[in-house]
Amino acid sequence: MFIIAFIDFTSIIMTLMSVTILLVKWRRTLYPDIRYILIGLLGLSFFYYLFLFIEWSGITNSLEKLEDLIGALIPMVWAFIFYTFLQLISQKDLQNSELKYRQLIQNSSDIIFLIYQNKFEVVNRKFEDMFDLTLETANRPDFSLIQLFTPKSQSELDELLKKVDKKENTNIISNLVVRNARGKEVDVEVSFNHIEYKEGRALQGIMRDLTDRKHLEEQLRQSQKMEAIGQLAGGVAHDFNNILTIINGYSEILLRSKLPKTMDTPVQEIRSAGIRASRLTGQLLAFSRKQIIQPKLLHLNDIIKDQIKMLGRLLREDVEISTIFDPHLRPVKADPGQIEQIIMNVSINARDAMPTGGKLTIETKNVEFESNYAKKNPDVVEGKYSMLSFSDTGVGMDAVTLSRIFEPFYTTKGRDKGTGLGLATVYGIVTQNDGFINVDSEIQQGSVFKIYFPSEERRVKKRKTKLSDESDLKGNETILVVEDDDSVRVVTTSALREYGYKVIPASNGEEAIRVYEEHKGKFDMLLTDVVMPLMSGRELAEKLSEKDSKLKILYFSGYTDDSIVRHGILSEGMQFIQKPYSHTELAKKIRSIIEK
Amino acid sequence: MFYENEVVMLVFGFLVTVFIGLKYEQLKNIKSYKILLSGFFTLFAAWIFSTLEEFYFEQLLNLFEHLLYTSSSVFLFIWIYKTLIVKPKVK
Repeated sequence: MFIIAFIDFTSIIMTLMSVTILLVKWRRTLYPDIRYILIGLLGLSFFYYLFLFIEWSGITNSLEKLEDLIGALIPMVWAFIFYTFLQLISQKDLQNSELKYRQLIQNSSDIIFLIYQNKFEVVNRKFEDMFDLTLETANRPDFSLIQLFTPKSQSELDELLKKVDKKENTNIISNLVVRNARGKEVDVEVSFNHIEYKEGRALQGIMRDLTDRKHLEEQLRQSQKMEAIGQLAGGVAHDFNNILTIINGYSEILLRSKLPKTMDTPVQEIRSAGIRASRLTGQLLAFSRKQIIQPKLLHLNDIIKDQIKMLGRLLREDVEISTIFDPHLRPVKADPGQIEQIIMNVSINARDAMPTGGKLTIETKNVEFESNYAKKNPDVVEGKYSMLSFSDTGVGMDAVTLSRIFEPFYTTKGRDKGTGLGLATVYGIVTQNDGFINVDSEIQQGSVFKIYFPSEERRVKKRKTKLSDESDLKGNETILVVEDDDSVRVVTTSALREYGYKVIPASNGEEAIRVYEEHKGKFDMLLTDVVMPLMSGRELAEKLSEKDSKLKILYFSGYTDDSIVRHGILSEGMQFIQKPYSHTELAKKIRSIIEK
Repeated sequence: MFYENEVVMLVFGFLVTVFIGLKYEQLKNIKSYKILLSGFFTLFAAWIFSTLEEFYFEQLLNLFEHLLYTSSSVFLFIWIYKTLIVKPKVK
């Protein structure tokens, strides 16, 4: 009896302690909605245990009825507690899911809004940013959804909304144009559908900004166009190079021979026209990224410093040149001649853009592109770059001109002033060197050309300026000339003989091997075309090198070919001369190889 | 012999147990739910013993009944203490 009374007393104490804690922490309780029910449960439990205690202590049995009543209430209160908890949990779940939905909508990169009973119920952050409208301002009586769209899109939107009204639970998507907060037209993909909301249906609208996508598509189209033009230009240049080798070669031979005086000027004209045409084909090759280059580690700063004097002569006096060099500029791997060509071409372009004078600023800087930038710009690979920028204060360009400036033969300078190959050449050179160009221009404000070359971390060896001995280009060595084009072979043979060389010609690789066997040990050099039927120049050179390791080899071609050069880049130790070459250039090249 | 009030408590207790069984997954979201449920189930067990003591081992089951009442009040105390006083551990 007393043991049970003692046990019941413990229950009373525990219940009192629970009540005390609950009352002391009343305001800080984790479940505020439960606390009243809980205090009720504890109160009932207290009296229940108290009556049990009284009963088992033997004080009185008269409270039994009351004890039974309280005992019956206790499980009901427990049930009420659990029920309230469930209510709270589902309320919290709903709040959480609403919160997630709101977060999802607010953080979406798309524009999302909800219209219920002709009122905006929800507008997300992107909506606010794009149109500079809040939920409040969007619900002004003088504002409606249709006002966000351009007049042409407004009628399409009307049609679209009618369709959405007819087809329930169907997502209807269309491309329309909206006007953003700054009044700029923006292409958007709009989708509408009805969702269940509150007591009825709400119209949910999602707009996706297509600016980035359109920009990428445009870039892709542009680069595909440039690739196609490049292939065409490269092909034309290749065929012309062979023809020009013959024209220039014979005109040189004629000029060196004793011509009647009346013929002197016409031949000179032929020669100078040939040289001009060679320059054009050279530019076409550069544009089509098929120019043979010998990349070296170099500092852009050094090349600009070398070029500044020449630029001063090239640009007019009213064009001020200023330079901003990054003293810590990382080196790049490029062909120095090509970099010089870039500096020339862009500077000339800037000069022509400033007919009344102005300022040309050439700047170098280290830059680094993150993967995010690279994703948005297909031409860019993330990494470190050395930037070469040209800013002018000229007339600037409109968007149409800007989109076409790198196309060959596109010029705004008029018929006699430009060939339209200057910037096309720059484009070809930069892309051949794995770089890229960004151009910004504003009408009457000027243009900025930013050219990026991949940086190299290695140190640059100081450039040694090699002085070629032009005084004596003659020689008496024996050269095996292999060329499948009869005219080119004949003119090359004649020219070399004039310089004193013993020349034995062959029209293909097999004939060359036969000739070599006949005159074994006599040859000092093999001068061979790269692309030939039956046997390529490279195969021939390899076969003859096996027989005579001391045989010097010089390739010539009007075109880059992967058997000799990979993507136009000459491997080290390989000797090459680009068609069309002048006889002097050829003689210089031969002497430099023989005397090595 | 059955006492009316004991049967009523037992039936109500059983109904609450069924309710808990049906909504167990949701009730798991209550903080320290195991302690709270233990508080109820020990009470329910006490009601079962209270009914059974009429037929078997009267004194022993009566003792258990009262011990289970105390256990229930202890569980309820611990649950209130844990949900109101103990601060969550900071990792």
